[in-house]
Amino acid sequence: MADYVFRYRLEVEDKGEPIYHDPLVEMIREQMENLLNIVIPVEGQREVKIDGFKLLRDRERIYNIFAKEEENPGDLFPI
Amino acid sequence: MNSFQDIRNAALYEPRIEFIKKQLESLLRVVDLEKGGEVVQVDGFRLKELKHWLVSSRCDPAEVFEYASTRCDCDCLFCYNKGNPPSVALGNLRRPPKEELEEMKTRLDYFFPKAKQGLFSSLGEIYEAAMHPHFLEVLRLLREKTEKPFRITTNGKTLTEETISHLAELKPIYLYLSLNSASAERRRRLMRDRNPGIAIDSLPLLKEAGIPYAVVIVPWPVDSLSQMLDDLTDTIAYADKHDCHLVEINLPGYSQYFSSKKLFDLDEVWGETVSHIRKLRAKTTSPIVAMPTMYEENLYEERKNLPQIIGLVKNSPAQRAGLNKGDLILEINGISVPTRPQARDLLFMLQQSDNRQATIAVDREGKALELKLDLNDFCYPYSRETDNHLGIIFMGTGLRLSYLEGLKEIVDAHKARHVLFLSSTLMKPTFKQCLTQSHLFDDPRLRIDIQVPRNNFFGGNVFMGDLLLVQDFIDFIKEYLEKNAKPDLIVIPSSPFNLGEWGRDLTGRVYLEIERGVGIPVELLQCATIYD
Repeated sequence: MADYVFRYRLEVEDKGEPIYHDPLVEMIREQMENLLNIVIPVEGQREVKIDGFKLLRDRERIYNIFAKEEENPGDLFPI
Repeated sequence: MNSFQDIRNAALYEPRIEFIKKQLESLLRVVDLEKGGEVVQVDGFRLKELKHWLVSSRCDPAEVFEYASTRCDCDCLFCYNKGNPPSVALGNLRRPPKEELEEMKTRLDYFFPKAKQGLFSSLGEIYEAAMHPHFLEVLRLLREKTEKPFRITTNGKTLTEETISHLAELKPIYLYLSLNSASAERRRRLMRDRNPGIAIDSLPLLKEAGIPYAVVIVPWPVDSLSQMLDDLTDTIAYADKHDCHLVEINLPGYSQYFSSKKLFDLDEVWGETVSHIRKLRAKTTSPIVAMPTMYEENLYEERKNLPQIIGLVKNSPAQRAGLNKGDLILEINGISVPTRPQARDLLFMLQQSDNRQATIAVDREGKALELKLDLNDFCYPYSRETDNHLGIIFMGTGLRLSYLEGLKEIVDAHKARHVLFLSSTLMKPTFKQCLTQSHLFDDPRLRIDIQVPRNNFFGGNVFMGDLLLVQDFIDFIKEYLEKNAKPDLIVIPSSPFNLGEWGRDLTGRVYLEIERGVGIPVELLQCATIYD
């Protein structure tokens, strides 16, 4: 007999205000935030805590991964 | 095509599914998928190979049959399901029973007790499994795969002679029978059970069928406290008369979603109930526990965490050997057991072993006694398969001293000097006592501040530490920082995040968010959830 199918709904449109209005930056931020909710990065044996990222094409600007509670959504200034 | 699963169900136990959902949604905001040159609109995804989704599991049979508990045929005045906040990670998945059966059958196909593996579980709605039309069918299929006891919680409405005879074919079975009252009138009123006689009359039938059971009572002060206590007395006497294995009193509580108004004074109801139970214990043979057990311990016991016996299962090896309520266990087979967890661990090992005898030394009213137990000397309601501690009942699990060693390791790893330890109202007195007695934290430069966060999320009179959420911790720590120096480390017992192995609270938020929210290192102290 075939297995029961475990199905899950996708809600692409149902998203609150983004942290960054640049959709491609926001996509990377979301992916990293989601990932950091299920893994802990390590360097060698040591756990590493990260809270931001840079794009390889622009090492001047740092993007926050996590929205701070007191911050309004929308484009954050560079840290 | 079967229904969509509720993602919130998966989020606690298998957050990788939630991760996939979020990643796909994130990608689909910036790209369209194509097939044959045409854009394909997708609205869901499915797991491909279920064998890839196996996880390590204790393979408790309830992991399968609990998926039958999606409905209830009672409407209890105190039902905690009515007081669940909307964001708690309980699915609201109502599917046809046939579809639920298909899921349970697939879960059974991937249920591997020998390999200790099973499909990821989920936190579903916990209602009345026994009323599911396919419940017995699922139990029969389960029995082909495991000899482990089926521990079934039931309101007793289906416990007719016929059902009990079917259950008896599937032993070992242990029932938690939510009787609540042995009075037909009161049970009808408390549980809106139109036919209360079935559950009430099931006690002698269960005994006849050799199925041990606990009688579960929520002492809800529906009229007056004195009427409630009188009914409690009668119900316990009825359970005792029919050789129940255990009487479990679940002290009543409610969240703000259950009632925004104060329904009763918690300390008055709990205090009076526990005081009454302590008197009843002296007159009753069946053991009685009042949960959460630490409430009684905090009220009455100056020295906590001791292996003192509060009850003995009828006809158990411990009862037949002459152990008494009130005895303080000193040694088991010559091994000193200064704390309750140590005693419970040794008794559990003996229970699982092939040993035929055991020796238990006790302090009885100041006198030392040694008693020999014949581990083969027992009969109903005790059984080797469903009991854990040779028939000895304690005032709860207690606190393992090894947790203090775990705390010491965390503090040392962080070289912390000021630690904020977030405990609970119930656990704090025991934890404080153990901390004071331990020499692990003698360094005078070290300060451990033990605080108890409020349960804002559930509200009402809920004050269990294990029901605290990420947001409760963040709110409390922020308040703490307004009045106190910033600690260099925050330690939280892992129990509010123990439902799965992924550190989620009851709404699915990961504990890591606390550190992100307050900017101070947060570590979880690994410890077991205390269910009693």
